[in-house]
Amino acid sequence: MQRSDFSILSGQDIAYLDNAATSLLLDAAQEAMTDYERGYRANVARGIYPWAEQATQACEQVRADIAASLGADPAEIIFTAGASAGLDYVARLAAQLLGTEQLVLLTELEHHSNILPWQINYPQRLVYASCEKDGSLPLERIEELLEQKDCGLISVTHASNVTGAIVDVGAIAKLARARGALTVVDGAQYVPHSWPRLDELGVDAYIFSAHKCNGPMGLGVLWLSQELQQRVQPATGGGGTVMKVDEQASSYVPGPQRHEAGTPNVAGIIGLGKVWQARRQAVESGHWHKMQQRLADSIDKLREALAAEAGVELACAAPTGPSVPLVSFNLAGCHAHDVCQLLADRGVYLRGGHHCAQPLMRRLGTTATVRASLGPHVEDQDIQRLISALPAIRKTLGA
Amino acid sequence: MSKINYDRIMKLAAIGEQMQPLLNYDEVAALVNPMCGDDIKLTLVNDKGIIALGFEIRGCLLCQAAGGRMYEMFHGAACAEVGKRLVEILEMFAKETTPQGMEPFYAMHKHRARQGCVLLPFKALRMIMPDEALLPTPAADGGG
Repeated sequence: MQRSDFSILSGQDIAYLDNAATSLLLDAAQEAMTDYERGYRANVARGIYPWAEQATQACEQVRADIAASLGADPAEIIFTAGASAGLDYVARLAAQLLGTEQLVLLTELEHHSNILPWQINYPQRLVYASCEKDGSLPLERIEELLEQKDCGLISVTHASNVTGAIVDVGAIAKLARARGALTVVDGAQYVPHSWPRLDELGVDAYIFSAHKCNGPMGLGVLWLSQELQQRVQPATGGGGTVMKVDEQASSYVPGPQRHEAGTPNVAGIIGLGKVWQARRQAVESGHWHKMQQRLADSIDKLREALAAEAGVELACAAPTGPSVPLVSFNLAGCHAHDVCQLLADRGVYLRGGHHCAQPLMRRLGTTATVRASLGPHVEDQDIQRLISALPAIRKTLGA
Repeated sequence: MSKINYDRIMKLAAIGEQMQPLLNYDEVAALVNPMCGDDIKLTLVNDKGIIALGFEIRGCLLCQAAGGRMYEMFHGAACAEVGKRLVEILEMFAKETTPQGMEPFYAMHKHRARQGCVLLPFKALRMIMPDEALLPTPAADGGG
């Protein structure tokens, strides 16, 4: 996976540094989706004609590929409409498992997508593990809350979309499990750069989105342990989920399809399958490790250059442990949106705002930041372009 | 390349940044831009017109500039005039018009993501203007 695999950039004078929001679609994924739409467009697990058989086979192969690479069973891989939809689904499922007085533990690092489903389903039953002012999350806070409160579940991000810090969700799951609590992980920022071993993490549910992994929009993956699946009924009803429907009650199919109500995003799943193939090929060829190391080096260089640049305020210290390649910062006296507008004028596309993480923004003492986030196509010249644009932007904004 | 005239915007923003909410006021509105979380607290003293207007914006340059322009336009203005012009401004992006006084924001017609920044102060003002001030002026003759 490299710049030439993303033809959206060819002939474009653009440095695309907004991968943590939406990554660029891999050409191979686009081609596979087009092949499906033009060649065998049909719904899955329903029709008996060849197109339907081919579509079903293609989707089930993707399910198997993803499962194999994450140490999971295909029966544990559920396709959703996105990471938000996956988190929302788990939040609703969990109502079958939590006591009526039990609390849900979140952290201040969370994306709104990992806050709102819990607020909606468990009003006034949320507790938060606070971060430090540098954005770090001490595990002791989580341990204390698990000790002091009756928390039935913790839902936590695997990597912050603002600080980039990777959270030790394995350790958190261990703490939670020891106290009988479930662990749900938002892997939206982690999976684009890593391969979580779901058979080793000890968590109960894990969610990520395709569009942050160079796949299509409108698609997510929810891993739900078989152990947990056996304890819950589907939280959404719809076509494809049932064995038999009677007037007052129904029986559901075994396996992940019981949680996939309605027509799935077949093209998207097929596109994600191509991304997954490319990722696995990159691992097998050794390119994956080199690419991630290159991105890690690039983000370190960017952070250093930003720290040395007059008027730049990093939103937080560099993560002390492992991290994903992103950095958040501000230009002193300038609003993030104004900075991003002027960067866009110079062909540097990145994100400004609260990044759907307002509790963390408050902890960091700001309302918004500029965030640069890297992907496989990013090269040194993109980083340099961002850095070299900042002095002129400060001048324009009178900072 | 956007065509935002930063010189003009920054002059207006300087006005917005200096404003403070009134200590004594008749009406108060608080509004958040959901796109970015920026917010405004707007206060006014109203007696058939805007006698006094004060606000605090925690927001970007465009939002501050829009606040500054709002102050210039409406401080001391009669309710009827405020109502007429406010309706025009609130519709400017939907109708692709540029009401008098809003020329510095003309470039934002092409920046949908930031139109809310420009409109935030005016939306806040809309919240606390008497409804009758915002009604269309009745036709002189209903005809028939």
